[in-house]
This record gives sequence, structure tokens and C-alpha cells, in this order.
Amino acid sequence: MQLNPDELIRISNLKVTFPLDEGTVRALDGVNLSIKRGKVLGVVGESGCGKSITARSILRIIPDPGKIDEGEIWLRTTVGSSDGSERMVDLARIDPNSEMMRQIRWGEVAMVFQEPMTSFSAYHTLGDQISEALLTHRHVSKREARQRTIEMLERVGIPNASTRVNQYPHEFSGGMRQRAMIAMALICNPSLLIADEPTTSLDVTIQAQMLELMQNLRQDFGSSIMFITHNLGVIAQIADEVSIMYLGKVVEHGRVGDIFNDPKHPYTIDLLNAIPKIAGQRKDRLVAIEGNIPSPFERVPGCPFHPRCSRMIEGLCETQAPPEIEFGNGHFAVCHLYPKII
Amino acid sequence: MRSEQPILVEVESLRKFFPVRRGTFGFTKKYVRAVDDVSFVIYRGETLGLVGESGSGKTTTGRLLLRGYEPTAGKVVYHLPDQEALDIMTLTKKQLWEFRKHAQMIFQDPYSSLNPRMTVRDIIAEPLIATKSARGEDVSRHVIETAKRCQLSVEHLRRYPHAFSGGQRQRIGIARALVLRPDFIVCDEPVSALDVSIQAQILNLLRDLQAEFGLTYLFIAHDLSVVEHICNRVGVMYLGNLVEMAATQELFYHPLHPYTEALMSSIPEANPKVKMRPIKLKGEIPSPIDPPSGCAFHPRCQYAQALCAEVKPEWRELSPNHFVSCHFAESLQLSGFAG
Repeated sequence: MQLNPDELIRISNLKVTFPLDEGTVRALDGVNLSIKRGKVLGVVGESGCGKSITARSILRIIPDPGKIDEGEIWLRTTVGSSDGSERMVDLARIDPNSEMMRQIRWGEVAMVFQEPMTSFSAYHTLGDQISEALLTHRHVSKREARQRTIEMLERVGIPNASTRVNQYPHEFSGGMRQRAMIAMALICNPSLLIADEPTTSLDVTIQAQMLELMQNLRQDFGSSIMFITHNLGVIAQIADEVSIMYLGKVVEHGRVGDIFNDPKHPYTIDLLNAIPKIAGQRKDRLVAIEGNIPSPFERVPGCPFHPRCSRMIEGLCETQAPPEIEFGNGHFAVCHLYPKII
Repeated sequence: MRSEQPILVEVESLRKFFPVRRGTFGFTKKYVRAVDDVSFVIYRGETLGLVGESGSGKTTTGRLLLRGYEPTAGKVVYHLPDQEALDIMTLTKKQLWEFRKHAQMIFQDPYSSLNPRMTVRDIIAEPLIATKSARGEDVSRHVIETAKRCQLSVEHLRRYPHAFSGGQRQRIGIARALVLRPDFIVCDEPVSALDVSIQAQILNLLRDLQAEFGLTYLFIAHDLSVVEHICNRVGVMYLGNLVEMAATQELFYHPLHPYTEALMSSIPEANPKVKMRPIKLKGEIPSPIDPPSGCAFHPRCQYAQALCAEVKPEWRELSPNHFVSCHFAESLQLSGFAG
């Protein structure tokens, strides 16, 4: 498989299952997505749609007993090449405990987790935890690692970084801890930063600061960002491209403007109608999506969204898997509603 | 126009300090000033929003309004229909039970606010039995009627909470609050734990119930788009103080307090064409144990002057029904939501 020159990573037909006593959960059911160099891909979906599992599959840290059944995760990387030249590696196929994967993890792909409160060890200073990544992945002395840690903490806007580097996580507020988390993720200058709901537990003013910070860091470091969230407002502000996920599948993908102004998949349309918009026309009622997200143990046949879809075509949507329809500019939706050729 | 509306709840100089022990061996006793002198009214039939950062005292205020906490100082007076004014802080235990028929609460986390060992029927029936509002057959009748109204089916009533999704659990929580047919419900972040598609269902349900039963809501939330959608008026809290309160549109587009302005500039609008330009607040939210002198917001305020550090600004009505506590509210030219 060949990545396009502007692509950093491409996931194709990724299937991840969790065999449990109660039955098998098909967490990812053929996910396709790709992230371009230096761009922000927003991944949107509701709980259980598989957005976090997709991220964890890239790092090969899927929680037990989940496993990759099928599919490919091609990443462009310099790890393992002696002359620093790039090559493509299928992350789905290498051993999660191998030296190669350890090098890629945090050296090339780093992650900001959802819970800034619980993602740090309480027993080590923040400085030690951040410089550990540098000592593991880059050939630097302890003194240099500490120096670069302080610089990075300053870079993400932590005041008095040279004293705070010796403090423990409990001495930081939620917003400051999230900044430290971003500093830790960026310390090795990764080519891909995965941010899993990085602002969900933060207050709006701090959330706005975090989004601005990530925008600036992207410009300075040139990293690509995979930004996972259920907040469409945040996506509109930060993403270049958007993938909408529902029940383990990407149902629509496109540039941020196309997704918000010309959504094609009924799920995307409904989601956009379901959120209150301040600048929009005053409406008394929101257009709610009826029903609930189905149980993860039963994957519905046909289109996964058909039981809740207002435009379901009987005899088609509940039996046949919908085709992927392209609308130009890389905008596509997986839906029966549109004629095959446009 | 609103001032002619009848008042349901009148809050006067409400304070709640929680004691904490600090210093060597915890010898020094200090107080978290969770709610520090708050006064406002809630009109009958309206939805009053309360927004602010975590730790600003929104939830404490909500609970104080139901006497879920004993206040340090202040009054909460209810003007219930066909009843005399009722200062709930003076009620005896027995009178408080009677009062609870009129005011109820919906909680944020639908996972921890329902007893996992009770069936849905028993959960919804409990307020009826606890307040001795119904007996025997009547209990079942009320429970079924309320459950249906909250779009729960009769089969659901036999099950336990674990069998339900977040949205359905929140319906159970709403049914429990509604079963006594109260006049007033405190909704503490009722949709923040829910998915986007479910959030809309619950917001619509709350709105329908309000119209049908003439409910009054205090709606505590941090998602400003949700608040804008559902509230008639909004109050902004910062570090235990109310800093501004006005009709929703007025507050969003013509804020008078610098903190409100910062909040409005930080709303991520779901429109890629409207780019937000957040106002950066200096530093971090201070500890409510040692709040700053004068105006609590002054260390982070870009317009602060010498006076702000010395004198606490008065809570005043600058224009009809637009309250603010800022020394310079008249002279500042603040911008509202940009969308």
C-alpha cells in the first residue's frame, strides 16, 4: 500500500473486537480514515462509536481483551531507518511490545488523554515524568532533558516553569495539568499528536486557551493532530477535516466547511440540528435524534444508523451495507440516499 | 415587562462557608467561601440559568435554595401560589418535608444519582412515600402517569437503573423530581453527562414539562449554548459571587461585566466561519479560601484599576433587570458574543 505524498497516516478497514463473556463487542467495524501532514483531523462521535479505540489502535494500547482482527494502519516514520529516511510501517502488523512500537509510541505518535487528573503518576514530579519520555526516546543527558522540559513547560504557558518542574501533579489545577500533558506529548516533537477529548473536563475560558495553544503549537512544530471530541463547536474551531463516526464506522468525512455547510449523511445532519446554536435562528425545540445508541453487543445489519434514521429507505437500509459515495474534494458519505455516480 | 411577573423565589444575601483545616496539624481553621453574599429573584414560570467556572458556587447556590445545605447567613423566601411567603431557613424538619413537595432537584450524573438496588418504580415512588403524598393504589397511578409523561414505558418500571442508558436514566431522575408535581425544580447540569443526540431529547422534554405543568427552573450549566437555548434570564457566578444577571439575549450580546465578556468570547460556536477570539484571562481562578480583596475578579481583569483591589463592587441594577457588580460597568465598552 502506498500513502499519498501529503498523507501521514492512513487507516483502512480496521476491525477491533472485544471478546467478552456476554458476547463479542465489535468496537471498530471497518474504520477508514487518513490524516494529512500538518493538518488537524477532527473525529466526532457519541459514546461507544469507537473514537477512542481508533486512537488506541494507532498506539497499540487497546485495553484487554480487545484485539485487531483485520485492517491496516500505515504510518510514515523514520524509526528503524539508519539514514533517517522515511518509510511506511503497518502498525497493525507489528508486535505491540516490540522495540519498534516502543520507539514509535511517544517518539513519533504521542497522545493527550481525556483525564488530566488521572493521567499522571501521583508519586513522581511532573518534571521527572515529562523528561522520562525524552530520556527514553532521544539521546540526551539528564541535565539537557531537564532543560528542555522547562522550556516546553514555558512554551505551553506554565508560569514559573523552573520551580513548577519540581512539583507533583496534585499541586497543579486541571487546566495547568492539561497543559503539562500537552508538554509531555510534544516533548519528543512527534509527527502525530492524538488528543482524546482534551478539553472536555475544562471550563470554557480554559478550553479556549487550550485550543489556541494547540493551534500555535501545530504551526511551530508542524505536527499533525487527531482531535477526538463529541463537541461540534470545538471541531468547527480547530479542525481542517472532519470524520464523523457512528457505531464503529466512519459514516462521513470531508473538509470542515463541507461537513458544517453541506452535510450529506443523515446522522451528520441530525447531529448538527440537535445542538443549540447561538447565532442561529431562535428555535423553541431542538431537532432530537429519536431512540438511543444501540447496545454494543448487537451490531445492526445494513446501515448502522437505520433504526434512528428519519430518511430510512425500507427494504434497503436494513439489509444492505451502504456504499461510499464521493462528492468531490475528498468529501464522502456512506449512505444509500445518493445515486452511485455524481 | 418581567418585573410585573410574580416572584417565586427571593434570595437575600445568601452565604455559605465550609470550614477547612489548614496549617500545621490542622490547627488553623479557615473557610471556603463557596457562596459569598448572593441576592436575586426567580420569577414564576421562567428558567433562570446559572453559569460559571467549576468551583464558582453554582451547585452550592442551587442546593441552598432547597435547603440542601444550612446557610451561613441569608434568606431564601418562597412565594408559592395561594400561600404566604415562606422563609425556608426558619422551617422545622416537619415543615421542611411539606415544603419539599413544592421544590425538587435533578442531578448531573445519572449514573450515581439513582440507587442501583431500587427498581425504577420504587425510585420514582419514593418522594410520594417520603412526603406521605399518596398511598396504596394512588402511588402506582402517579408513578405510571409521571413515567409516561417522561417517555418511559410501563415495562421499564420493573427494571433496575443499570439496565438503562444515560438518557433514559436522566428521564428517571426527571420523573422522580416531577412525581410530586412541584412548582420549582433545580436542574444541576442535567445534560452535561449526555451525548449530543440525547441531550436534545432531554432539553425538549424539560421544555415540554415546563409548559405543561407551569414549572419554574433554576438551570445550572457550564455549556453556554445550552443555557442560551433554554434560559429566559442568566446569572454569571465567579468565586462565590454573582457578577452579572440579565435577560439571556441582553447578557450574551451586551454584557456589562468583564468576566461575562471573557466567557462570551470563549464560546466555540459550531460554525467554522465564526472564529472565536477568546479574551485571555490572566492567571488562574484564585482559591475561594483566600479570595482576592475588593472585586474577586480584579487580579484577572484586563480593565482593573486601583479601586478594584480595595473596594468590593456593589451588586446594582444598572438598567431595568440588568444587574452587575463592577465599579466601571457604565464606562466600559464590552463586546458580546460575536456570532
